Amino acid sequence: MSTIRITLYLGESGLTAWLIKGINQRLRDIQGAAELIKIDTLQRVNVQHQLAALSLAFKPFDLCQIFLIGENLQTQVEALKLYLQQYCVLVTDTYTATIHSSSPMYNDNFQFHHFSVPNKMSAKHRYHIMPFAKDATIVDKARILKLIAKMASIKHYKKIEVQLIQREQLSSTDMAGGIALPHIVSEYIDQPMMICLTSKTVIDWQSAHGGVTHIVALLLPKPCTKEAILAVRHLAVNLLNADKKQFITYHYMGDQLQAILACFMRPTEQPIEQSP
Amino acid sequence: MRMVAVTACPTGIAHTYMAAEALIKSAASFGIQIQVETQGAMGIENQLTHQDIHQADLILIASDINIENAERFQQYQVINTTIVEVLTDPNKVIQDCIKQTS
Repeated sequence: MSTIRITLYLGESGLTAWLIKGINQRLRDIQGAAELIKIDTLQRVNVQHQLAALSLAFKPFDLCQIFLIGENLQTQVEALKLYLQQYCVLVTDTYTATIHSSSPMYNDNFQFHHFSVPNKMSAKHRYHIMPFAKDATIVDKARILKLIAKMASIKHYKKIEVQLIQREQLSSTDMAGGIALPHIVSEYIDQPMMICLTSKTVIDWQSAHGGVTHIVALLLPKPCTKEAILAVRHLAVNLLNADKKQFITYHYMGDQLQAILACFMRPTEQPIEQSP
Repeated sequence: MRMVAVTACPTGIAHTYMAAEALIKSAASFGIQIQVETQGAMGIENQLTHQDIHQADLILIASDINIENAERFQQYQVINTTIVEVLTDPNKVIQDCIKQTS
């Protein structure tokens, strides 16, 4: 049994009846199940139930995900992706070391970087960031904070690192559920920045919550725009929701994380109550 | 029962608002009417008036820093807690508040 997640932005027509019908045609021989997820609210329906899918009230350019679980999915998935590419924007599901996108669908206020912790630690990290580390495979909180600071600004990284450490000393930014949200407002930051690190192995974030796999560092300049502060605020409040935290931790690819986190940085719409 | 609270944290961009949201949800689950003032990077929002404070049965300050306009609370019984405690278990914080005032 395997699972596949296809993350996509709807086109300007939103989720229409003909689009759902087209999706179902590509999935009719699937040996398993397919769910359609509205990411901002995490409402989910069986994609084969057309009326239920329409009731999610998708708007044009909304972010959604088709979650497939079953056997031998690859053929149907390829056909489905080819179909969806005609009407939607697919979010790529390959590893990208660093993303700096200015796509209007993402949050324009934030520069976004993502990398996988083990890759970073075993390559560039060893030579450029921690030259004196005896064992580059050991990943700890102090190293990661240093890495975030260096990603943010080579010129001011020592000061930024101190600010990140000072914030963590007040209380751990472990949000529980595998996510840490280190954040500072700093005079050494030029523009709002989100640096996202993911690790397949749990990293001790020095809290009672049991470690993290996803570190979402938010670094804001001082002074900062209202839009950027609001974006962080919306994301933080969304992280109170255990389901949303869990959903984030299913993803390890930069483009997907950027799309999902940017979605959670917008004001959350309340789900429409379904009539029984 | 009527409750007022203030939330504040050093950075003021995340935990202040998370704590406010957590308190609002938790208070609602106990049937408590709550008004939360946030003191964050956006300044003071939902500012509590003297009347709001006077009419409250419970006053909670959840903060890791010295809050602004603290003198408003001088003549009242105030329960102090940290942001971490609110985020870790907001229901326990509300329950403790109820116990201390009953």
